Amino acid sequence: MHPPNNYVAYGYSSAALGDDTNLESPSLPPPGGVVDPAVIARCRREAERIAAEDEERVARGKEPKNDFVREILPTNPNISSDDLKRELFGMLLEEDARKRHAHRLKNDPAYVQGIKDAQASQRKAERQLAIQKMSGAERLVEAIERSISSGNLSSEMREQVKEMIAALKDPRNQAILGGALAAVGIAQFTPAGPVVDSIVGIIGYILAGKAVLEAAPDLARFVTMALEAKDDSDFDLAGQYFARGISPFLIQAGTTLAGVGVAKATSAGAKLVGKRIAALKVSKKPITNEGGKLRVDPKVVAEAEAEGATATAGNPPNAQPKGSSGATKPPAPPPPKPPTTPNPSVLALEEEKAAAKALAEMEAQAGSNSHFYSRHSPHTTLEEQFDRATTGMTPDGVAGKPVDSGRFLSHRDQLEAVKIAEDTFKRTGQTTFSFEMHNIVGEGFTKGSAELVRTSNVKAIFRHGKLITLYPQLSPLK
Amino acid sequence: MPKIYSYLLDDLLGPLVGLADHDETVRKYWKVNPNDPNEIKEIIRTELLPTYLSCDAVRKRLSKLCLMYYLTTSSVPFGRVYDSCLIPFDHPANPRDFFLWIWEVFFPGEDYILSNPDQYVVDNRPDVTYAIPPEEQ
Repeated sequence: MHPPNNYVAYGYSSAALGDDTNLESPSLPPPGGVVDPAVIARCRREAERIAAEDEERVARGKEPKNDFVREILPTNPNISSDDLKRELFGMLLEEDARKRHAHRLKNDPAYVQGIKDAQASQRKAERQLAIQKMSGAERLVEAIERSISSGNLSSEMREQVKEMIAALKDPRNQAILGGALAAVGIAQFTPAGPVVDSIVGIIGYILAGKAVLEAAPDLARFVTMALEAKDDSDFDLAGQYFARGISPFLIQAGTTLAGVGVAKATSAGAKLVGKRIAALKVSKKPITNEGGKLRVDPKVVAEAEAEGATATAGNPPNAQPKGSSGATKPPAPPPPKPPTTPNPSVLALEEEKAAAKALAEMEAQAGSNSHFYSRHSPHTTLEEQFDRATTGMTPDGVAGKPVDSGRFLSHRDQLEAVKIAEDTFKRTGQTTFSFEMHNIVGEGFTKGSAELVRTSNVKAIFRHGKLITLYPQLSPLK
Repeated sequence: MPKIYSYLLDDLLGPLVGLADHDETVRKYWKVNPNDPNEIKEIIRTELLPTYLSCDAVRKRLSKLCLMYYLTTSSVPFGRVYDSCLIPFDHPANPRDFFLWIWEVFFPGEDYILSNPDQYVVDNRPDVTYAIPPEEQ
């Protein structure tokens, strides 16, 4: 059954054209309920031409021909075929119809809503048509763009990704990227696992260098969702997966560049994007599949990294500004020494790894019935959480019943929550309790739902003195 | 104004909370019919009632008041409360029934209707069970 406001048929004929042009949709309803934008444009042009001709005929004392016929049939009872024709084709109204239209716009909310819904339906369907026509490379870039507003990237990373997007949008780079993606099988939409791995590898290599070539479930999900996207919400979700998947690699890649600090390395990383894409072109076989795992030719990587490093070195922080009279000024002070203390991002990454290890050990010590790490840690994917919420299959592969299913956003947050829970348990003896963390710490899906929910609430359950489970509690009472 | 601690509603489910993560318990309740009042009331009697009875008087009073308030006003999505607690079996088709059956097991023969629910304010803090202020005790 098609949704309200879609159109079950459309077309026009024009005696003035000397034909009976039939633009009826080939099937009922037309795909997506959309009227082809080209048809709309043609109808508008035709309507304007005939209106002008009729005006001229009336001016000469003749009857208008009124020979332009269009037909679209809305299924929404609050609006008529004429309403849709006017809104979509710019149909000309008679004076009384114009007054009736103006009156209803002011006094008939259902009519106004019907018009708005029809327009929104048309816009959405046109957007879906446009998405259908997007290439694989365009889809990936579109999803990457959505990651900026996903809330999963730090401000620094957002700037980094913005610069990368600009490089990826360069038509030359798009062509090269498209070729590289085609080479690994992107032409087949709904790609299989090894193809996804390869595309993840290419995207990861381009954005963050060789550090990304390890397995990255969120990035694989990003690739799959972007390539299969049917509307903007799919791209939004793909963008979220990208943000989550790429963040650790951006940290890693940014801090491995010349020890110049994250801000400088961020800029350098962005400049490397174009170089890396170019490297895909200069090498005849830069990418090979080894047992389903992607590898990039080390020589190509080295060349690109070297070029990128050279590019960043060309504009030192203490360079003289253009136009200054350097001869009369004292020489610039020596460049600052590279920082000797560990970068905060590196520390964060190390802390994250240490927290993950600690949680895994704690769960092992708590016994086989304990699942706070195996089912609710950040290493589980959103896809796994979604599967559990809708099918009951747990992230560690146990068939159960569908339940709310969530994971922590970071191991550090989860470890902190575990410590709070243990303190509370020791202090109060409570075996089941909730508490609120300082900020959003978890995300997941409520039972049977596809809507991603985030929360700052945590639930902890102890049995026989052991922490059985600890999970982000979705949809709290407030 | 007297308070209703909303957290105490899902605290009533305490001994069953989180057990959807406990595979043995999931298997134990796999064939439970959530719409059978007798079967569910038996689980409530054996699993939830002892924990309630072991609470101190203040906790019992506040929990009972909370249950009365929400059964009277139905101002909470009972299904969400239940599902957010990872209970090892489904709730009844009408999730409120589960909480009604708790009332009938915990307080047999008593009326849950609260005559003046408007006089209460709801405290939604999730951690009041171990932080009930002295003046409320």
